Amino acid sequence: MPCAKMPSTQAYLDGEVDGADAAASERHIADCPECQAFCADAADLSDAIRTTVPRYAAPAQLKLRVRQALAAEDHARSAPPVAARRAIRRSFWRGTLSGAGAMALAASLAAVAILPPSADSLADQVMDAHTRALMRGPLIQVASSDHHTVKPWFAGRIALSPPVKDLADQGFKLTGGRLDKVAGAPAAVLVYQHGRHRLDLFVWADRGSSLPTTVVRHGYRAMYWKSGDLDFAAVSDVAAPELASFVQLVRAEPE
Amino acid sequence: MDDHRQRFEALALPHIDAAYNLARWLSRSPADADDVVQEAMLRAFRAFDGFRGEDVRPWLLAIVRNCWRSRAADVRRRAHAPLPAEDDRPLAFDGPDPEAEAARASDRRRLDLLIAELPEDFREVLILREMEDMSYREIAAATGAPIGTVMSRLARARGLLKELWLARDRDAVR
Repeated sequence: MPCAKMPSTQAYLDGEVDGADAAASERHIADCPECQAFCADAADLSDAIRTTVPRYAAPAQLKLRVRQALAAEDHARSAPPVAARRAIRRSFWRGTLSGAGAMALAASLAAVAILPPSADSLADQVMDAHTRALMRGPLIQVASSDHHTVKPWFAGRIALSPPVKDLADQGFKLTGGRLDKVAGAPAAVLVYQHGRHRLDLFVWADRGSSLPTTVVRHGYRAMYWKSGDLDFAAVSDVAAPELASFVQLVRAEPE
Repeated sequence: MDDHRQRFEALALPHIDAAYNLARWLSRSPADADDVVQEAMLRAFRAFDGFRGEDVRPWLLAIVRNCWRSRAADVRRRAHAPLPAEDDRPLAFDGPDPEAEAARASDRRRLDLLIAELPEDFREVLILREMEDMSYREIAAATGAPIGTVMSRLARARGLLKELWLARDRDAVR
């Protein structure tokens, strides 16, 4: 007899609910072995499909044929008179110009995005991402206490492989992971539980920005560090010594 | 190039891979998938003036699905369904380790076949959710089924696949 809450558990797992509903699902899953098993199976299946089953791409020949068919259909629809043809040519040039404008705009936007964010803005962004996830969810996109489940989940979703450690014996239980953003760049977030507190471990690709060390804001505390070509931030509302020992464990233990 | 075609090429054509993937998993045949996608793109192009929605992808995939369904009905009427193709699966992996490579290949073939064995209604929601990352609402729009039906089909697809998977494991042990 399957759990009656299975549909909402599945919806949670598929990222269809947020806010209070997501929190309610998380509480239910924490207490329901059936829904836990369902989540683990569905996550396994999802991983297996994403990593081993091909998503077929349209062959180049087909794309070409479709374009040709569209062009043929287009000509059949409208064989424009001479005046209209001239108008089309004008609009073609206008299109090209606005295309160049758009390209320049895109280039300037890209330049902004490539600049490494300042330490201050990084501190704000990580705090914001953490509290946003706490308030609105989803806090967890892959729910598992098994680092062999959580780590592969990130493969194919983000171009970095975060070190995933099981620190349950030290009092920090891995509960899952999610994708988030830090300063516009994708970040992997590992979610740990310590008593009744949540700890988010943000991992993103280093872009040469200087990191703040420790930031305290509205009762939340964040610690930052670099390791190799990755930047890390641990954020939580736990007491300072606990956060420090968490950071020590993450940094010290071999994966 | 006229506006209509420019708009179509900008908004609908980028989804041709999603269209092909769905057609390929529905038909289980590269030749059928080719024909279905070509016909669907042309139909979509003709109907594009009437498209008023925001999201092109579910709308386009609904057309792909309809093309496949009418084609499958034709084939059934002529009563010789083509066998699913076995040998032309893309090689999506390039790794130096031949053993892991072989293990992955057999694993892939296996999951491939299991998904291909699922009933069509279940197979399509699974493909749209797991490969196209579509929301329930988008899947409902693409398949014409209510969201509740999408959810129960997805749960059935996952349950069935798990059973088939475990059954395979048991067979392999025996």
